[in-house]
Amino acid sequence: MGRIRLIVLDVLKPYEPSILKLSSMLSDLKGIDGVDITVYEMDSKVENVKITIQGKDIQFIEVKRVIDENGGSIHSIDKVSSGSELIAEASTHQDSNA
Amino acid sequence: MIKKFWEKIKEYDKIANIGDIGRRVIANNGFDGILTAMGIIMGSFFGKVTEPKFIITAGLGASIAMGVSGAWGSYLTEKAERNKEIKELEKALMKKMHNTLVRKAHNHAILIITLLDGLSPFLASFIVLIPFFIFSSAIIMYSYVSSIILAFVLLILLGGFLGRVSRESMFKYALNMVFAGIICMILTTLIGFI
Repeated sequence: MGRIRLIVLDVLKPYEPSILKLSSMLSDLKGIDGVDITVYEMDSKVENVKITIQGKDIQFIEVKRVIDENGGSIHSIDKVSSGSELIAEASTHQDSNA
Repeated sequence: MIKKFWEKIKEYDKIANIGDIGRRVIANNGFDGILTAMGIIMGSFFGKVTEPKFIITAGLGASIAMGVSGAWGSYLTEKAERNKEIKELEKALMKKMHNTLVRKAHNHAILIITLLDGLSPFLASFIVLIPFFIFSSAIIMYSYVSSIILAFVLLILLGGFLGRVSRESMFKYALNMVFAGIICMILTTLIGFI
């Protein structure tokens, strides 16, 4: 089975534990090389974040476990790349302006 | 292992705000404990109690009652407040918070604050009563004097602690505490005139 190399998640999480903690916990997981968390919306008690994870062999179950433990909830998986190397997203007719 | 434990506590503190509430509880209930012990000592003095055993029994009884009352009240109020907070979070996240760091942090907060709330008045009044364990009934006056001195020392320390927490003058807070002790002594002295 192909290894997951890149994954982008849309997550709703409480303010605490902070994104510092979550990012550090995710990057400690086996098979992960780097994590980026960006907050794009803040509410009174929760925040929406985009989590980008890159690695050689990302274990999604482990990623989900860490997010769950931190009180977060995965809204959607917005992007996944897998295989022996990372490839760029191809542009299609739909992407170009008419 | 201790480092790991300490980091965990710091993490829980960040999530559940244990430190701030804990400090408040220690200061508030420690103060209660000291003044209650002072009241018992002054009352015993004017009641001409010369047997340390009676003062120790009355003092420890009051300390235990304050400890139980503090711990019990704190447990129930903290639990109610924190459950409310978790429920609000669950509503916002549309998921249950069982087995999450947030839930664990709040559970630890309830436990730590309950312990602090129970132990601080108990320990404070117990420390004030220590001289009565040391001196015999023949020299009970030493116990009375040293207990009151000990109470004032504790009040100064508590005031200093609050001054340090507030990053204001430790001396000012200590003076405020001492003033409360003096008021307590004056009021209990009135018992002597009954």
